[in-house]
Amino acid sequence: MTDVTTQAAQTPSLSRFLKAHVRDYALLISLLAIMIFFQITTDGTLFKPVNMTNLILQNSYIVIMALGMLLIIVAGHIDLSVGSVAGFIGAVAAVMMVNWKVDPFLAGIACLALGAVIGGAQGYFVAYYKIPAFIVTLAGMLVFKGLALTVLGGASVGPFPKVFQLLSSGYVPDIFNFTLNGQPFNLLALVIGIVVTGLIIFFNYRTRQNQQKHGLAEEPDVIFYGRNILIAVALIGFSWLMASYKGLPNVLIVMFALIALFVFLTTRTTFGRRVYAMGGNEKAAKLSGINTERLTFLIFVIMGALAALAGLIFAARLNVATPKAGLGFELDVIAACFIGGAATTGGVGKVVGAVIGAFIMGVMNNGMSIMGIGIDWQQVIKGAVLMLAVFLDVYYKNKG
Amino acid sequence: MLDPIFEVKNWNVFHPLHADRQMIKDVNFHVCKGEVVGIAGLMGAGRTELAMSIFGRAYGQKISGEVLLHGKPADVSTIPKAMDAGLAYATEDRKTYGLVLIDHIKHNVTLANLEGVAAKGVVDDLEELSVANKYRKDLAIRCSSVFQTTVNLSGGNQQKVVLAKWLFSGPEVLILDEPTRGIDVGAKYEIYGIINELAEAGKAVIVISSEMPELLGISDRIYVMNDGRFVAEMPAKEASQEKIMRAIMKSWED
Repeated sequence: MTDVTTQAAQTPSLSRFLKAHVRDYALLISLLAIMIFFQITTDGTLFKPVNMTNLILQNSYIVIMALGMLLIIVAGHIDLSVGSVAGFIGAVAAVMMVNWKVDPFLAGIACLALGAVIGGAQGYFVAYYKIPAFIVTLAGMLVFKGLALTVLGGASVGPFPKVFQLLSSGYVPDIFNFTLNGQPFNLLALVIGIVVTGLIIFFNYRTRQNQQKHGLAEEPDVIFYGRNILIAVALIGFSWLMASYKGLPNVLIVMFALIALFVFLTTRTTFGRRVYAMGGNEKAAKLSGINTERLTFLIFVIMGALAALAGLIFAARLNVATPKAGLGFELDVIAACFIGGAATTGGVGKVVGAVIGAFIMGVMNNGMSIMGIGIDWQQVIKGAVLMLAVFLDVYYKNKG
Repeated sequence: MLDPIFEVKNWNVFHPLHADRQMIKDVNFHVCKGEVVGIAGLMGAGRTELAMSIFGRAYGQKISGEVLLHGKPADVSTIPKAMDAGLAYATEDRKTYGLVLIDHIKHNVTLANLEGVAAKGVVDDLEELSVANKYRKDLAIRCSSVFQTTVNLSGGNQQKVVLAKWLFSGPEVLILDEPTRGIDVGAKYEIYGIINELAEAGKAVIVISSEMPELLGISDRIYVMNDGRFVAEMPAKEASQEKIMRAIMKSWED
């Protein structure tokens, strides 16, 4: 009997596969559907190169924080302080660079380190004193909101030095000096897009060949090729759009590098596997020799550093540090993770899911703003989408 | 007599919450290479507490005593250190302390020894798969594939996954706490077979069980525990249920 079931599981069957992985694709299809919806309702504004660039710049800091938040949520915790920490770090950066005239590069490093220390301080209480992360980071949220006000003396501080502004408003410079239909066209952006696409497809293909060699390829051919064609169209189309505006924003490069790093960390490394095991069953993980305290501490350090980076990017984008910076960021970040399929109970969630979740929120913000929907109704709609996403997740999980 | 490879001397443990309540009182025992030692006793005798306190102080406080491996003092002060020293402890409560139930067999098998399938912190997926499939075959774990989540397995197969996890960590001394609790007779029989193979392979095996016929059948030597003390020691050949019960009752009278 065992052999029969083994055989059945190894034969790639389209409907069976779709059924098992509906959740993975549903998320991506939702994002596409939302984008197409807003493309129509905004009369084609959404996909305009300038708007796409804006979309990236507006959401980069949410995406970056969502990467760390995903680790925290997978580990079974939560971090409510990220918005305040981001705001506080922006304030510290402003005071260092504007008031004290510290070298922007040095100040940036110091701010990232400070973020890591803040994350570590909160993680210390969560990991070693077993105080619920909800309480610790709620306290952190109040503390750092207050400290941001103190550091800035209640006023806005700016503008930042030119070099620092480049973090958010800079683009990877073109080397080709190429024009298309009389418009400047950033050929380098397109070339980078094509190279990255080629690499991704190459790695996908190699992984699949490896799986096939060991009789593990469960993804049907149609879906594999369809998925890769879609990736190619999306990435090359995207870099074309970027190229016809100003090129690739510096932030985009940072964001993509971090996404790639975190996908690698969570799926391929022993560190990632331990985080998932700890979130799935902390007692079993501990009794299997995993140092759960140190691991918890470490993910809060990572979260703190990412929140600091997000704070720097946000401050550089506004070109001023205000006491209100970072207000409510934590909600968008947490929502992105849950829309992306992370479970409140821990142990479940994917980095790619959280990134798509962040962009679903971002595209909705952007599209509704262009349509002229007021901020009041935007909140209502965003709340409803979050509820719907989590409801569908739970509903289909129960149906099995 | 064979040389003992694992010895515990003057082991004392206090309750983790009530610091004045002594749970384990002056326990001494040893296990030889290739020997299966049973620890018999009634519920609440302190057997699980003893095992967990030895395994990286996972239970209790104010722990004192000495653990010797091959005659040399071993550091078992944390779980990772105890594992490095060559200890493994398969829990009696596999759902709470043994398995990551939402994850599949493959990930559970390698959980205690991820370095065994990884190079420089990067997990080799195919290596891990072959390890999981090897244990699936060796321990006859019945499943549709190693990608089946452990929550969907029967009790016996879950227990085998827990055993596989500890076997893959390559221990010298295995402590099995109620290894056949709540599983069917077929799986019990298979687990007895696994225990015998482990002993033949030269491991020291300690089995904690409340089922006396089981202990009498698989052990070479039996310690009887009651109220935190070891109250008797006997070769399995000379042991019987009556003798074990008599030792327990006698210790109450003292």
